[in-house]
Amino acid sequence: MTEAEEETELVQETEQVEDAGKKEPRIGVFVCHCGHNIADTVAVEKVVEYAKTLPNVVHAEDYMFMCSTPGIDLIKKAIREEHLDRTVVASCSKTQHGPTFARAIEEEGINKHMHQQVNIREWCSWPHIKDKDGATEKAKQEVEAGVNRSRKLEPVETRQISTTPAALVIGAGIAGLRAASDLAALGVRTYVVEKESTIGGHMTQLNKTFPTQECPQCSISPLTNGVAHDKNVTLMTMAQVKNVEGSFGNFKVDVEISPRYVKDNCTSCGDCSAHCPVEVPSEWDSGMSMRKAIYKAYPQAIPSTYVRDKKACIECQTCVNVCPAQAVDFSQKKETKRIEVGTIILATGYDEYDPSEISAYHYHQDGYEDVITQLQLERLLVAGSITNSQLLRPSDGRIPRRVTMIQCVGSRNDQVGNKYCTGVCCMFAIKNAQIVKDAYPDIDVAICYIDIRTPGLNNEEFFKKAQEKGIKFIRGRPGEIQRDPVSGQLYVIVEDTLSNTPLKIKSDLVVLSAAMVPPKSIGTLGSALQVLRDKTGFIKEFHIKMNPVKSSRDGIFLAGAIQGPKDIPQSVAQAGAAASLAAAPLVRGYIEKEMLIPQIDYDLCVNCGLCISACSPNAIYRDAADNKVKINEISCKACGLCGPACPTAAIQLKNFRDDEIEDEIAALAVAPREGGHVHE
Amino acid sequence: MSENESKKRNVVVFACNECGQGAMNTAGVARIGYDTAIKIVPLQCSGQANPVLILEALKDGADAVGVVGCCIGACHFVNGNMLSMHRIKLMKKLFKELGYSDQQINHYTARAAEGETAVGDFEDIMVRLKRAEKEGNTLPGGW
Repeated sequence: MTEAEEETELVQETEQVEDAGKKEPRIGVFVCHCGHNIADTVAVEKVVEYAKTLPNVVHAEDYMFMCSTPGIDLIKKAIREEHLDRTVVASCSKTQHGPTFARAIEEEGINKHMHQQVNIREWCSWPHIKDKDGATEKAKQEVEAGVNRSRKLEPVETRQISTTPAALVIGAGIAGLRAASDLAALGVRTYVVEKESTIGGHMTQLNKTFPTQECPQCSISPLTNGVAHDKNVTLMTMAQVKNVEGSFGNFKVDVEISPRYVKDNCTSCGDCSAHCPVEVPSEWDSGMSMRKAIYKAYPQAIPSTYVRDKKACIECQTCVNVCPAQAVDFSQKKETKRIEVGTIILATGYDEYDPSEISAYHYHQDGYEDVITQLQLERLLVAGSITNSQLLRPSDGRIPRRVTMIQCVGSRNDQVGNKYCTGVCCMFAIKNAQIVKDAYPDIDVAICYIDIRTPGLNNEEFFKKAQEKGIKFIRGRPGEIQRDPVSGQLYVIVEDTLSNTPLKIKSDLVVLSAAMVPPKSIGTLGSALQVLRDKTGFIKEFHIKMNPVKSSRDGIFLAGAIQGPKDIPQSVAQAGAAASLAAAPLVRGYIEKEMLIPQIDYDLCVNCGLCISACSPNAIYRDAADNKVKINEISCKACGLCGPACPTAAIQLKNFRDDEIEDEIAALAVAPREGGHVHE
Repeated sequence: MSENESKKRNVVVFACNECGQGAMNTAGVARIGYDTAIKIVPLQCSGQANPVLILEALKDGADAVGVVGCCIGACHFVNGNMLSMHRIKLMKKLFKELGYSDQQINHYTARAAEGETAVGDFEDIMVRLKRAEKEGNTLPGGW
C-alpha cells in the first residue's frame, strides 16, 4: 500500500466515524411467540405487520422461541444482512432474557446497550388472556414504544476501574476475625479496626457454646492468634472509623486511634495493675467483677499490652513508677491514620439489650441485685471467674436454690424493646440451664418462654435433653418480678398459658435472656460509611434472600450480627461469604462498571446544586477547582434522581433522557396508528 | 355496558426498576388480570418520574398517569420513592387549584414478591379515573 493510499483510507475511516454519529438508525424488531404463551393471546403476525410500518424499522419478524439458538441465529443473521445497528425484541421481561439478546448483539459487534427489550408476556399476554384484541392493540403500542425508545439509544462503555489491593474489616469479633483470616489467606492486605482494647468480641466472654458445650476461648484462639500474627494483617485496636471517602474499589478511610498510654514494650507482668488504687466495674465481665484503672481485659487478651482508662485514672503516677519496662507513658496522644482500601467488611456485631428499660423486671435497681442477664450468668460460670466458676448470687454470695429464666426480654414485644425474635436466646437459655443443673442437681431451674425456637441440626435434641434433665418449661411471659419487702425474696409472676394457671414462682436468682440489639456506636459509623439501616437499627442488606452479604453501598459487605441477630455458625458462614466477595475485585485487580451515568449540559446548568442534594449515593459533588458540579462516575448508581431535581433539565441520565422517555410515552398514550407517533 | 365502561383508555404507568416492575412481572406470572388500558413505562427509580414527563403523558392523550415505586423505606436508591410521592402530592394540589380533578395522577408502592400489590394499584387507578370522568373535570387530552 502506498502512502497516498494509506492516507485516503484514513480519511475514509474518519468519514465513517463521523457518519456513524449522524447515521439514520436501522432498527430490527423481533417478536417472540414464546410457544403458546404470547401467540395464543397476541396476534403476533399483526404486531410484526404494524412494526414494519414504523419509521427506521428495516426488519421485522417473528419466531416461536426467540431465546433459543435458532432464534438468536435469526437475530444475528438479520444484523449481518440488514446492517442493523440496534434491536428491539418483544418477548419476556428484561430480567429474564434481556441479557441473552444483549449478549447476542454484542457477539455481532454492537454495544449491548443498543438492545431494547419489550415485555409483551408478563405485561401483556399473561394478564390479558381474556381480551385478545385488546392485548394485540396493547402489544402494538408496546412495540412502538420500544422502537421509539430504541431510536435514540447510545452505546454505553463498560470501564475497568483498577482497585486498591487492600481490604478493611471493621470489628474484630468472631465474624470480623473470620473474614480477616480468609482475606489474608487469599493474599489480600487486610486492616482490622477494633474499638475495644482486645480482639475476640463477645465470643471470648462466653462460658460454653451450644449445642456441644465446647469452650469458646479454645475455638476462637486459633483465629485471634492467627490474625494478630498474620503478616498480611494490620491490627488496630482502640480504633474507630471516622470518615470514608471515595467509592468501591478505592476507598480512603480515616481511622482514629485512641492512646493506650502503655507502649508496646509492655511485658504484661501486671505490676501496674496490682499497684493501681482505682477500681471500676469491668465491662468485659459485664460488671460482675472489678478492674483497675490500668488493666488488661482478661489474662489471655490479645494484644497483651495493658491499657490505661483515662476517665477512671486519678493520675497518681504509681503505675509509671512501678513499671519495670518503663512502658507506661501518659503523654501519648490520639492519632488519625489514613488507609487506602478497595473494599470494606462491616462486622461490628451486637450489643446485649439493656433490660432496665422494662420497669416491671427492675433490672439494675436496688434490692434486685439477683436479677441478671444471661451474659452476666455466663461471666459467673466461666473458668476463672470471680466466684471461681461457682454459681453464687450477687446479693449475698450464696448458692441459689431456685433459678428462673425469662425469655424474650427485649425481643418479640410490641410495647417495649423490639418486635423481632433474636433467635438464639432459646438456645443459650437451655444451654445455661443445663450447665446449672449439671453442676447443682438440687437447684430448681425454670424457663418462662413464649415459644421455644430451636431450629437447625442438633438443637431440638439439645432441648429434649434439657427437659429430660428436669428443667421446667413454663409457657408464659412473666408480667412482673416482685420482691418481698421484708425477706427480700424475689417472685416471678407469670401465667402458665398451657394450664391457664397464674403462678408466683419463688426465685433466688432471675436470669433475663436479653435480646441482641445494634451496637450503640453504629449510628455515627453507619453515616460515615453511608450504608442504609433497617428500621430496627441493624445495617440493611442489599437483598434479604439473594444478597444478604452486600450492603446498600457497593464495596461494603456485611458479616455477622450487624446485619441482624445471628448465632456463631451463621456469623462465621456470612463472614466467609463476605471475605470472598470483598476479595474478588481485589484479587482480580479491577471492577467493571457500566458508564450509565448522567451527563451535564454546562450551557444549561445554572450551578444551583439541587442535583447534589437529590443524589442519594452522593455521587454528585461540586468541584472545588472550578466550582462546577461534577459526577463521580464510579459512585453513580444510575437511578436518575438528579434529573427531576434540575430546574433547567441540564442533567440527564444517559439512555433515560427526558426526550427519550417522551418518545416512548407518545406511543403508549394513544391508540396505535400506522406509521407510528413520532415526536417533533 | 355503559359508554363509560366500554371506552378504550390509555393509562401511562411509570414503574421503577426494582419493586415496581418486579411486582408487575409477578402479577403476569400469576396470570392476575387487569385492564388493557394500563401501559407500563420502565424507569430506573420512581423518583425519576419527572413532572414534565407526567404532564407530557397527559398532553399526549393519556387518560391518567400512575407512578409505582418500592414500599416506603425500601427504595433501592434510598429515598427516590419518597421524593416521587411528595412530588405527586404537590402536583395534585396544583391540579386542584387549576380546577381539574386530582384523581388522574397517583403515586403507589408495590412489592416485587406480591403481584397483587401492583394489580391493586392498577385497579385503583381505573376506579379513580372513572370517578373523575363522571365528575367531568378531567384534564382534556392533547391540550
